[in-house]
Amino acid sequence: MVARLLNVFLKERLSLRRIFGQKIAQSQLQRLLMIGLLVYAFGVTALSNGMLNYQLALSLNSTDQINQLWINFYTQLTGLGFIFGFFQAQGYLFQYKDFDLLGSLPIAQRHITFAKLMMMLVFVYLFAIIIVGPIYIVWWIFVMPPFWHVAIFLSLFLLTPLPMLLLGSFISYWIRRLTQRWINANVIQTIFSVLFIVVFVLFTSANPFDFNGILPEFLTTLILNLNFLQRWFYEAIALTNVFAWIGFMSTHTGLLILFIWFMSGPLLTLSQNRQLATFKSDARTPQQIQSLHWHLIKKEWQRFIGTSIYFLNTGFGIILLIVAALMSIFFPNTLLELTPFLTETGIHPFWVIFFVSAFAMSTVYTPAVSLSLEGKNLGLLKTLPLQAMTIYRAKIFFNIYLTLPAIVFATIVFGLIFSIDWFIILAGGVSLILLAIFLSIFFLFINLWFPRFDYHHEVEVVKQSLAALLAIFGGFAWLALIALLVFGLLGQWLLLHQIAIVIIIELVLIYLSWSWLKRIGEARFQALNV
Amino acid sequence: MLIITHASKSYDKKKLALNDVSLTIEPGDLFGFVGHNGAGKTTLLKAIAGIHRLDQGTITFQGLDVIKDSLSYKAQMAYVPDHPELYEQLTGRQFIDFIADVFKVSIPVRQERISRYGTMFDMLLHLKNPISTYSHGMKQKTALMAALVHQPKLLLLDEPFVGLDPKASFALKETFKVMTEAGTSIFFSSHVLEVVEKITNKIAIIKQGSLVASGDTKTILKNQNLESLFMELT
Repeated sequence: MVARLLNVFLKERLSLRRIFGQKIAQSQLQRLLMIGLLVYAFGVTALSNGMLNYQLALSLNSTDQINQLWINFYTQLTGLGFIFGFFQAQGYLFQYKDFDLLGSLPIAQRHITFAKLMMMLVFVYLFAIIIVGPIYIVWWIFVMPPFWHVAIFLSLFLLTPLPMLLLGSFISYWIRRLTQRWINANVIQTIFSVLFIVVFVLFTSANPFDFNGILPEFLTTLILNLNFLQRWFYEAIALTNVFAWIGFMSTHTGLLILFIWFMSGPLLTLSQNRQLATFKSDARTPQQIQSLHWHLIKKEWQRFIGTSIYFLNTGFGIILLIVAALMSIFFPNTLLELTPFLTETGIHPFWVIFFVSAFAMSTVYTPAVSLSLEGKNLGLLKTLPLQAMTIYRAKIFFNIYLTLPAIVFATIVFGLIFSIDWFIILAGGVSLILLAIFLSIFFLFINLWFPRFDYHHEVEVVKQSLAALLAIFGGFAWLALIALLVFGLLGQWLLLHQIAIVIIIELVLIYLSWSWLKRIGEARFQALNV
Repeated sequence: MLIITHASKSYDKKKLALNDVSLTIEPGDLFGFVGHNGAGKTTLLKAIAGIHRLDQGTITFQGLDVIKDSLSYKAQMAYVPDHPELYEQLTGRQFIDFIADVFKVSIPVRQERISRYGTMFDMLLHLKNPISTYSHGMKQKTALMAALVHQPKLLLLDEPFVGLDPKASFALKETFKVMTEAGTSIFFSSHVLEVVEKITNKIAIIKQGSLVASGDTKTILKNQNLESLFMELT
């Protein structure tokens, strides 16, 4: 039964139609574009990982420590397992959309849990190939092990992400269980998720040996003792220790069995007892007619904050920027350590601030996906007496409202730390604001041309759609063009002149793109079909 | 025989979606279930299907408990929701084959049934297409075919006539007749009171989670029609 389920899940989740969307799958050009982009994105990631690890391997090999690569391999693979478990469990392992179908069939919950966990692992493997795959290739090049080593590698590779995947799922289960009956459970879950991820990153990036003095002694001992899985992994793969291999495989298989055995029931109960939101967060009768723009912005905000995957993917850049700015207030010297490098290369600190802020801004691509996220509601919007530009404006302004406060805050903080002249900070702020406006319009164009309304889960739009990919790479491409302009063509110009040229170009781009949007926007909107 | 005893359920621990509902559905019964929107029809159907868990009460079919004997209980029944969530990337045929595999329906038998119901619901030509290309009605027909392919002893349907074209609607009513004659118990909810009145031998009316009428259709209706009774009771 597990094999039958897995077969159905694989077809359902990994078909071209599902990955690209119905319309893209039917269009030869869009399909080719999507495949090209995927190959490019995966290729760039795999190659850059390969290059980085090759450089690392060169220095490790010179000190006869090449096997240290396996520590990186293990950490990254288990990290991937955790991320997938944490973010996919809700909506896939429990409270899944096909529960009404599977729940009424005579299939043991243990089989469903097992098949769903295997599917989650498949997704980990797909990403692991480009993230940790290059480490193995680099290690192979340096060590040239016997051919049968592949078998050991594969067996360990398949099971390594499992414990953290189970842990991520377990934590996600408890967060859901504890928050599901609260008002705005999704919002609370999003906040919990962000907090949890920040704490997790802080802990995993720290050396466990440094926990001494920070954590109680018994916790430090526990963390160090838990490292036996990593030790077994290392000994099995690097030293081909059979006992370590057996220990590793049996522990991981045992954990899987234990999870399925003990968690299938609670997962089923959580799905069966799904609570319906019966609370109203704002039940007051409005005193006057509220503006359409306000309603649309409010709708965008509720969608943003209420959908964890949307919030975390398009809001994380801004959160990091705010965190970085706040940290800089307390640790300004860390930032100032860049000064000698900047002086040496002739780069003005303003451009560091500009590109760091612009990079964060380019990751907030909400207009590139928010139209798609309307899904079947698009039909409703189309029946209302609304101009397409009103909807577009709300989506663009929402993005600007989201990014600007963080950008302004970060620019002022970083500017003060680098002791940049106030006028430069002001001019730079204007150029960043204009860039935010232009990028918002640009992202909206992407969504207008590459919409995806036939999704089942928001992740398909926010992370896996052609629009999302184009937005990420398109945003970076605009930054690269500005960098080329500033450091190439205008390399010898005065800073203020460079900023002035960037502002003029941004103004022209905004004017052109806005005019074009006004001209074609209505027709394009009518052409959108759910 | 399906026996529902003192079934109660609340989603928010404040308001009861089901309030002490007791019902018996015998083999061969075609049982219609009516009520306002939000009265508790879908909640009861999902509880019978094992999708929702009751806070109190029990549900058994042929002596098997929906929770304790979950698998053997579910092996006897089929549930068709009002908005079927099917695996959209599978073709209609692949989906029905999946369900047939779950219920271990032999290849020749499923072949004959798919052909029969496919013709009946005008779906034979569409079964090779992905479900994502189907209209709501076609998805409804696919879900019905998947439910019928294993000839369940208990058939649960939530608003089965919504989205069906007149021909499919007629075919479904004929299928109900044949199945009940063979001893299958059918329990369905509907807002189409004329159909419920015409085809069922038993009905139940639910209001705010509680049954306000239940029993033989003829006995309950006496000399009035279902619409008048429904308006009077709810």
